[in-house]
Amino acid sequence: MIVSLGELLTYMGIASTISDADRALLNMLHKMSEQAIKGHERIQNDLEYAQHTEYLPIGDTGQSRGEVTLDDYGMANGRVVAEARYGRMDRLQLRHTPVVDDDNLAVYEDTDAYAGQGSDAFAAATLLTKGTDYFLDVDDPDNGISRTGHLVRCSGTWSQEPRSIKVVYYGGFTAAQFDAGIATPIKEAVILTVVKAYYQAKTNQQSQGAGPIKSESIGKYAATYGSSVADANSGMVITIPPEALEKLEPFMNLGRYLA
Amino acid sequence: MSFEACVDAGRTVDFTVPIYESDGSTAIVLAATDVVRVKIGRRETVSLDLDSVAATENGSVVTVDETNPASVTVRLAQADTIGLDGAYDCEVSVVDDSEESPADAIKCAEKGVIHFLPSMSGDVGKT
Repeated sequence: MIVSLGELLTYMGIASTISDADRALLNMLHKMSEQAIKGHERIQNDLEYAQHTEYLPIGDTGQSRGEVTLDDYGMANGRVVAEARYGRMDRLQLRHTPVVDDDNLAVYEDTDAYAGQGSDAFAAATLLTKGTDYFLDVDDPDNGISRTGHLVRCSGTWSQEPRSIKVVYYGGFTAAQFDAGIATPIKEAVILTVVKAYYQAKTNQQSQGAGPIKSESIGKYAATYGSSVADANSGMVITIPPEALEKLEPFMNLGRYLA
Repeated sequence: MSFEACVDAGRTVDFTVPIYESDGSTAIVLAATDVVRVKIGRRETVSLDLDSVAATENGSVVTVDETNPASVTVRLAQADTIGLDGAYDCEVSVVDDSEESPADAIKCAEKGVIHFLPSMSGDVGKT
């Protein structure tokens, strides 16, 4: 988790007074809020430091497999590489940015791997060499990370066969970076989102009239609202408040649409 | 029941935690052979794992002051708190050895937050 329960309680000033029921509510909304941020359409990123595996590219460029000929391939660095017949695709976009530049980064290219489902897919011989066949676009060398998450082909083009490239890498921010480093705005955004969801739920639990309309009459308009907890929470969604979205702005990456 | 404590990282501190049932008012009665455990951590990671059986290498320990109603003193030794910074979750639990299924059932008794605040560097010895 990006934020601990203790940090949330501290921010809310209720660490010594919260009841077990409210702690349970906060715990539930905490998980939902973090997932709402990770799944936001402009983020779609686990954000937390972890190992990931991706099969790329997500689609071809209009060329059907039956049209591939020997002319589509050449040699570079002692390897067979795809040639750019329909435009060079020299960059791959990894999803879980920032991508960490370390020895765990492994890239395989195997045109008949079929997303790992082909026979002998991504065998050891298909492992590419970092710095020779490709390089990671390290744009933040102080932190040893690539915020763009681009893998750049040194020569030729990346295979355009769908899911023919396997990338294993570590991506996301560490706990230390969330606590006091480059990712503190994400932590702040999570706190703002959880707190809003918590107080909204508390208000709904106690409210009269926050639930759906049960009956209406038009003459001298009157309405009756559901007042049970279930009614009040009907249609509840975790929404990310604008101030939290502003904090998240620098971490939004639409590059995956180009992968 | 919840509690909150502030601790200066790198300094030794004692704080008392009365242990109640989840209603916050019914005191728990400890048997002489029960063990009290205290876990301090953040997210899924435990940073300090203490108990009333033995002190850590650095001297952090849980001492049972009273068994009825139950109350314990948590000693956090200075060397165990170095590097901790900010708000940490804390769980006080009782390992009840009178239970047989499961044996030695561990029961959560209290939850709280401990704030570790930065302290000044420099000499901390006697001279």
